[in-house]
Amino acid sequence: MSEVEERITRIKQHKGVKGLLIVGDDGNIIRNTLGSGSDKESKSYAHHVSEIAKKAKSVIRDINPLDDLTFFRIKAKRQEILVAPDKSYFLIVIQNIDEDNDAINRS
Amino acid sequence: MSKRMINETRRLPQGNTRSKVRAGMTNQYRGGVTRKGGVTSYPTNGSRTAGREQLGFVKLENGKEINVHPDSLIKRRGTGNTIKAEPDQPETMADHTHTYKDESESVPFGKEESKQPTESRIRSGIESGTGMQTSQSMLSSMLEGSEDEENRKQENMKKEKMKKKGLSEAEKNALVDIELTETETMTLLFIPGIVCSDQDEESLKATKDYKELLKFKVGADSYNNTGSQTLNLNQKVKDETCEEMVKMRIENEQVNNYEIEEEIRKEVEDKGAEFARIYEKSIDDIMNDRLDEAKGLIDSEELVSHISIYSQMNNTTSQPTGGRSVKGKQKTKSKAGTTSQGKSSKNRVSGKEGEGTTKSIVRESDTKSGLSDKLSSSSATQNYTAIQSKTSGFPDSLMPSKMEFIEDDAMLQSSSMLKAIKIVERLLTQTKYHKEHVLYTDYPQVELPKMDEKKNDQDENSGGITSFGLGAVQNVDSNSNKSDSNSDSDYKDEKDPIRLKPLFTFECDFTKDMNITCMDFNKANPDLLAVAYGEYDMNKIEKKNKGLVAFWTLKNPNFPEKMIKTENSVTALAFSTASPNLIAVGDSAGGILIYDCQNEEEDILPVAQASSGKKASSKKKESSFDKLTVPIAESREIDEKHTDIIWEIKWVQKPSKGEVLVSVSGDGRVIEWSIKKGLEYNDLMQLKRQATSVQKEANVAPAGIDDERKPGMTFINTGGLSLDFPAGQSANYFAATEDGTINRCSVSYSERSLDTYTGHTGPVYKVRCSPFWANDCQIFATCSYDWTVRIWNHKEPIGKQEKLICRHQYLQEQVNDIEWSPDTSSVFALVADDGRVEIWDLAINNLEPKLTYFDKINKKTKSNVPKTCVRWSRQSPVLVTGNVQGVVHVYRTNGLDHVQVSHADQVERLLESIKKEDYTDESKDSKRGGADGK
Repeated sequence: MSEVEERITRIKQHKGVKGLLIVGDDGNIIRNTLGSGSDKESKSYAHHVSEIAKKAKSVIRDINPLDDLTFFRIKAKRQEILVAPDKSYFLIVIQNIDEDNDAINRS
Repeated sequence: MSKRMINETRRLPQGNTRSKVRAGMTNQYRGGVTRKGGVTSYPTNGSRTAGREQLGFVKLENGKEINVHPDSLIKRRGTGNTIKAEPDQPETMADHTHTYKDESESVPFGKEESKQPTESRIRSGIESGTGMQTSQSMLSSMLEGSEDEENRKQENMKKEKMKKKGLSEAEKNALVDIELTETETMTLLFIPGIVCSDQDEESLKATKDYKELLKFKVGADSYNNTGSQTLNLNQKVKDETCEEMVKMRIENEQVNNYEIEEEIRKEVEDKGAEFARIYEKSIDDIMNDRLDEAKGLIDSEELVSHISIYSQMNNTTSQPTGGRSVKGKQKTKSKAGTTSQGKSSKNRVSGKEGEGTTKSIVRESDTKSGLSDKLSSSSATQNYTAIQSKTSGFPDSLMPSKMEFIEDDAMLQSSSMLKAIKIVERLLTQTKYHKEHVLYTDYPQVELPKMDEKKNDQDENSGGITSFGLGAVQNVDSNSNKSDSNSDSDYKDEKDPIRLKPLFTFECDFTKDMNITCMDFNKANPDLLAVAYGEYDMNKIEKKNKGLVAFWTLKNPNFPEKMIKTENSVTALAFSTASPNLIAVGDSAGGILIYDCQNEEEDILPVAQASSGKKASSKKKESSFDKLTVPIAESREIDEKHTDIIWEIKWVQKPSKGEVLVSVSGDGRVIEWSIKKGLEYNDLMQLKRQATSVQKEANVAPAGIDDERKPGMTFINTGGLSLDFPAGQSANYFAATEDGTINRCSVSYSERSLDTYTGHTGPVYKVRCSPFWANDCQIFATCSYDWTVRIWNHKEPIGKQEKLICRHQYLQEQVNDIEWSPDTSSVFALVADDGRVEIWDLAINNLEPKLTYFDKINKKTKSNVPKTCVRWSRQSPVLVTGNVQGVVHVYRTNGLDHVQVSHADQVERLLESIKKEDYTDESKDSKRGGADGK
């Protein structure tokens, strides 16, 4: 197992992590750990997040052409979406905030 | 009908009109006769009667009280009433056969046979139609086993009425149509008979042949009687996948790498070509089929679906080979173009005319693919999209699986992917451990309990502050619990108690159950903690051979940033100060390895190593080259290396030589290593056994030997367990030995130690010089197997150097490690074998620790895990401890005085705290200690 694989499994095991998606530039889902049965959900994530990622990338480029986007996160009430875009794909991790908070409160 | 009779019998005792019953019976009898005729028409009369018996029996089972069996019924009738049974018997029989026949309606009969019974039944129905109906209603009521006599009576009354009405002659003769629609045809068993007429020539011939065959059979050798299986056995359905058989060929041939590569490529291409061919052919076939037919229609949809698959296949298969795709696309496009043209011509190309035109178009577009491509491309693409939407089901499922594999591999190998994943992983831990991080880095808000007055101001700033306050409250709670559980609650009521709040535990699967032997914070990055895992116990051989150095950061407490695996147990490690990326590792075999942890490669290679052969870190390939040091050649392997466990390594900044490494080992030698040119060693000291004063007193051995101080004693080596250089000095150092002595040695004088400090009665595990070392303040602390920590002042005259014996009254285990606080001169922490962490502040109290802390007791073992190692963070108010189970605990220390004073003040504080050491006068001292604290 490559290191990337290992890390992916570790990310999956994180508390509150709902799933990890690797989405190609064309919007195709290359890797999906959301689990089967959530195709629709993952597709919508892939579609919408890749759109905003492209936009964010262009924003950064517009501000400074030498710069490039490496990461951004969207924090919502219920969940947090972490996105790490790259040349040909986006890595998307969805984290449920509710569970996370619970974990903190408990500790 | 028999049921009706039963009812009649029931009715009889009640003494209703007997004549009526009889009349009904005669009526029945008549019906019975006719029915009898029907019955006799059955070819299989016997079997029917058998069926009757069965039927009766079934009723016996279902009806509980009423005995339905015809025989017993008759008997009852006979006994209960004076009516004779005999004449009724045929009637009942007939009756039963009748009902049976009703039920056996579904059984297919021959035409001629079935006619008769039906007819007869119809007739009987006419004759006793009402009777039959009632009999059936009774059957159902019987089956229900209803005991309700009232109901039965009522029903019977009805029946009687019906009968009273009777059937007039006209009614009897009238034709009543009975539709036999009561039960659906149920096929219980269906074995179709093979029927053929007698006149069939074929069958006749077959019989004839068979008869002739039989004639031959007699006495013929080639024919004999054997049983044979004529039914086909059920076939088992089993899915299997198998790869294509690889054709093996053994030939003597030489193959170059590029040839293999080409061959592999060719194979891929071949596959693509094959698919292309298959689909091309199918398209052609369809075209031809349609065109061959007179007035044939070209089903454009069918064709087009093939084309779309074909083109998609072509795209996928030709993707790796690049060049092909252009050709394939053109082809398909042109094809699609033709079909679109065909479509445009009303989708119908008729007969011979069509053959000529379409085919020519196809050829044309094939040959002039470029031109026709251009022309038809627009229409083709339109068509194409339309096709795709139509046939999306199939090609979609065909495509993505292939695509995925191709991209997946490349993706997961890429380093940028790794980077992205690293970022995400860190951020995930960041969200999770945000609060702990804040505590760790000691943002000022953490001091909120002290700033209650300012709270209002701060609340406006952000919600985060309140959460810190909350954390502090929790902290207090947990601490009060802690101190309750602790034996000493003396300091609970103190104004500002020292607290330990667990922040993280660094552990993962790799480090589980491995003894933590040493820890060190990186000098440049104070958040990076290197932890050595190993096993001191030489008996545990299987464990001894595994060594691990893990680099933990607070960024991810779940998994180390980096790991170094070594062959032998790692027993000591130290980060270099001058070049913080270097880490020196000592292992249980006496080898010293230096790693460059800046190395981005996954395999961290030892840049220099001194060990016997290639043993050490053989998992990593021996680095033949490294940017920092000259690799160690075979010849340079050092014979004079340590022969026992390396207990401690220190980097020492030397004014002349730069940074050198000093190690102390169980073989008693102290060696200085230079890494300027590989590893060069220089023996500093051979630790010798000293007859200590304590030993003199304690030893039971004959007094004469010790007193005379045999010169031979100096030749007995002793193992060194620890060494420390005073801060900022490189000339003198302290070395602790197994014998319980501490030697002060000089780097330049290797024969004898300068001073020997005696006092400990067991091996001295650690010696630590105060970080606030000065000429007038030469304090060092030692911890030992003898449960004590002792504070020494080198400046005092010999014999009075031992200043303090610090031992908690409940501490009855060896003290494994001790470390001075880097912030406050009078504070140190110790860990012991019973899992305790103690923090002492000598300035406040030099008799008892300020804090004794235990981890939550493991419920399973009900004992604390021995802690082996303790370190203060250099920058954060954080204490880390390691235990024998491979868990590193990170605690936030609260309530320690972070005296931000000058070095001189610190020195004074320490000296002061030691001066008031008259620990013989305990009461006085404790008072003073308390006073100082306030």
